[in-house]
Amino acid sequence: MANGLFLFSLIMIWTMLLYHMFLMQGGFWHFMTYQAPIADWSKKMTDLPKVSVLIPAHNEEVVVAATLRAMSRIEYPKDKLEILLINDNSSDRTGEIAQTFADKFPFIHVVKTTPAFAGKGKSSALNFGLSQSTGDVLVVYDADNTPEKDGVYHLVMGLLNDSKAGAVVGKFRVINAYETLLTRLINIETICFQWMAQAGRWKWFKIATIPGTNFAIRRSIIEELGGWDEKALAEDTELTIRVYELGWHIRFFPAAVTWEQEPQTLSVWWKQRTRWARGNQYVVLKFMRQLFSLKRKKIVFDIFYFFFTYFLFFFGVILSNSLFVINLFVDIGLEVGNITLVLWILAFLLFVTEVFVTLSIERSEFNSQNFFTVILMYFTYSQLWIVLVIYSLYLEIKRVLFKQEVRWYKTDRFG
Amino acid sequence: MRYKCLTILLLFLLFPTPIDAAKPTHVVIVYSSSQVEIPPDVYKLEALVSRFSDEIKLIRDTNLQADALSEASHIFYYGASTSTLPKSTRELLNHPSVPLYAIGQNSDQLASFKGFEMTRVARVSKFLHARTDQSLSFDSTDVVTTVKPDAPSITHASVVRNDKVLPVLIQTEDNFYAGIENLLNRPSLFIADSLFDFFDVEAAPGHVGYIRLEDINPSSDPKLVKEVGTYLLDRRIPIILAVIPVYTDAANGDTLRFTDRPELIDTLRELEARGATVVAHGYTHQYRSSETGEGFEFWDVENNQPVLSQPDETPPKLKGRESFASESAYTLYLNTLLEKEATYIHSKLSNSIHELVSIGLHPLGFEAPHYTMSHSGYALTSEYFTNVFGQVQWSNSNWEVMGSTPYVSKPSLLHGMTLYPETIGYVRTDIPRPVDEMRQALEETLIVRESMIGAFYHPYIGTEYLPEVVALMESVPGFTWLDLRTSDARVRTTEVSIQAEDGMLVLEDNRSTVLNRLRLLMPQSFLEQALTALAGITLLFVIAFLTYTLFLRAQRKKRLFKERG
Repeated sequence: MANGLFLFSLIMIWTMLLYHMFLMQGGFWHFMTYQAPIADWSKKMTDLPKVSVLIPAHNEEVVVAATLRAMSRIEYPKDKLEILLINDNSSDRTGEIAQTFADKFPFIHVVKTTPAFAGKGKSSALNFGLSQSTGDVLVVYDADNTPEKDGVYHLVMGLLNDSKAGAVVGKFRVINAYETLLTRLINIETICFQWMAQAGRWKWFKIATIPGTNFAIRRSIIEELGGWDEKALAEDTELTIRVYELGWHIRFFPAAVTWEQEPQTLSVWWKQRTRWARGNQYVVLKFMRQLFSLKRKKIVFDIFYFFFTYFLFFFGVILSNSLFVINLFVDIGLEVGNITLVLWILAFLLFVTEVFVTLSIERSEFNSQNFFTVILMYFTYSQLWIVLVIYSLYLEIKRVLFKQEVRWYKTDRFG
Repeated sequence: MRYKCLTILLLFLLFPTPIDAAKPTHVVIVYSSSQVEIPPDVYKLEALVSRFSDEIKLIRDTNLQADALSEASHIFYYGASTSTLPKSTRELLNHPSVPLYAIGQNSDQLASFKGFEMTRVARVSKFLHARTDQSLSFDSTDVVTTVKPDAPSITHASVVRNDKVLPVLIQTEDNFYAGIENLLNRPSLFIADSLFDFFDVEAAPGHVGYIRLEDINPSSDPKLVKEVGTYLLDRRIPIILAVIPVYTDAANGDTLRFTDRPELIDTLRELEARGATVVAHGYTHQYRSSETGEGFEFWDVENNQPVLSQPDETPPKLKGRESFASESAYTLYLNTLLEKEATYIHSKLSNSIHELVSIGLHPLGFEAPHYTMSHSGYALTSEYFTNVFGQVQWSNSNWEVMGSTPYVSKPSLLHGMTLYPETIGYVRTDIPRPVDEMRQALEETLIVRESMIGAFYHPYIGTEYLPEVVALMESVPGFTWLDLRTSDARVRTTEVSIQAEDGMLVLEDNRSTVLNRLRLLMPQSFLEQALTALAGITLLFVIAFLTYTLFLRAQRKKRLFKERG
């Protein structure tokens, strides 16, 4: 019995680890190759479309000035650029600060959500922004983002040169990476996500996930989809699936870079990640029901991956850990051979080397400080995710059982 | 000095004594049988005779030619079933110039026994042995032919029936007749003993015996193995350890190796260092999904035929000679199939020896699991071993027809290997007084001169019955313990050889140490293999990712970033 359960947990865990090895390999190859076509693509950047940059903001007075300052420096023909700061029910000075930029730069506009859209969360604010915008291409940034000057240009470049791309996703980096231990861990996590999950999946399957910020999407698509799903906590994942269902793909193009702020305290991180986890669980459960009716089989695979990540993998890890701990106190007949010990060590080495590759890709990130942080990360931050997923699963079950309303937690910003 | 004397005595006891150095013993066994194949009884007879001669010919009555007997110093005739002997054969056997030993049926057709009154008697179980004056009652009954000669004779054995003593094994001058036609049952002991008189050989005094600790495998309890082994070694008994290198669990197919049980390895090494001798008891002692110790390894019991396929394959059903138009077609068919058996046996035997050597043991003999093996299997086994323990499968088509000779022999079936017979059984814990059963077997065995007292014992029982077993065996007059290290026992594969020399074990191992270790670590079960493959893949990726990291580090200065800063 115990051996059967252990075997099951082993399969769950290693299916994921094997998949991640495969992704990392793809991510590395994508890094080595993605810049090659840029020179050619630049030649086609003549008849540029009008771009609307949507920035939903709810009480963002701490960061909004820096964000709009970066927006003002965007290198894109100004007659084809409109930046809409969507002030969603802010009770602080967000609107006031934003207005000073709007007054100074004609392509920056502040729009205030009206009661039908106001205070319902990011999806709702984006839908309001959509109704107010006029661009053929919509670019979305979070209110704490400071994109690089050519960020929008590269996003548009991806769309213009890839007729099958419904959306183009750029890379984001952590601006406060070295503020606290937590932000250092998040920074490493973020870099891994970019190069392993995003670049890897794009290289192998032509799949990328819209991350909620730093992406461009064709207006025609978002209109055809009827805007963002206001019930979804992870509106980006949800949108990703629907874009694929329409027959488009989403390109990951790391040349488009934005910098964003990450939580500096554990409580803020916990709230943000709980929302992400719950959001993804919602999406998985929403689309698992219609798994076999989905037209794009590639995305079925991706949903299955999410299902594995948020349900099976974590269940496997919890089961494996539980069996290990119980076996320390009670003999449950667990015949753990030497090979499982070897696998355990290899799992750790795999984690470390995968992270090393991604850190090396970002030229300045593979330093001695991060070297030790990576080792610490395996035993702390990574394990914290297990608790978080259990907690968010508990909240999701409770929400479904008691038919609770979805509440969108805005991430607190740091000055 | 005492040790040397004992060694010389043992060497003397273990090997057939030449009858007359000047005149070699050439034996011809003529047999009558309705089967084309040599009957198991004939193989048994040949095995018994092998104690007295290295030159034995087996000839079917229909094939006997005059020149076959020209060199013979002794002739046997064995009648397995009623038949009329071919005239030419009868004439050749009628007035032999050398001693003739007739056994079983049709002997009344031979001139030597012409006027004898022979009567077939059914359901005989009680016998009287003249030389030892012992009365023996066997559990099973037999059909025998009692004989009343018309000339002066010596009775060697009789049957007791309705208070009448009826001779069944007699000698007239140099000729012998035994009315015991089933040589696979216990009454054949009388024939075995009579051969000393027939060949006029003086038997070595006393009896040699051994205790084999059976079925020691990686799942064995090291404490019990040590306890039992130590008990015997403390009493200067050079025990035999029948070791199986790999344990296979029938429930889940998992395998366990000695490398997983270091304490057990230490125990076995310690016992060997103290004088125990290891024999290879197969490799896994199982085939297909059976459990180690329970399963057969060198015989496909389900189909009652040799192992003709790998465990996961469906074997072909072996066809008989009658399915083929010619002998050559049958031989061709058989050889093709037996090639698979050969591959299987070669792999099992060399793996077994290599694995035992790898854990520091020195196997000096072989014991087939459940004593089952095809005749072609024995031929292959003789390439590796010079000694076999236990019993022999006399029949090449039915594993249940097996048995042993009462004394050390060299049956032709074993292609030069010496058989150290197991004659008194083992401690069966499923019966109330197991040693009593062994005692009865011992008493029967003792009627044969030079008989070996071979027993085995399962270490998982603990020492409970050991004092009684040891006392029983040592109570035999002139009893000595077998020490295989003082024989010229040898075990050899293409890469490894082990030789017993003057009580020492000489090992020559030409295997690559690294490969040897790797081979030992190679998993057996599918699960372990899958996990090892997984570890291999992961290791490759870890190496690849490290290489990428180093490459990117080396390229760092050359790379231009468009990112901020």
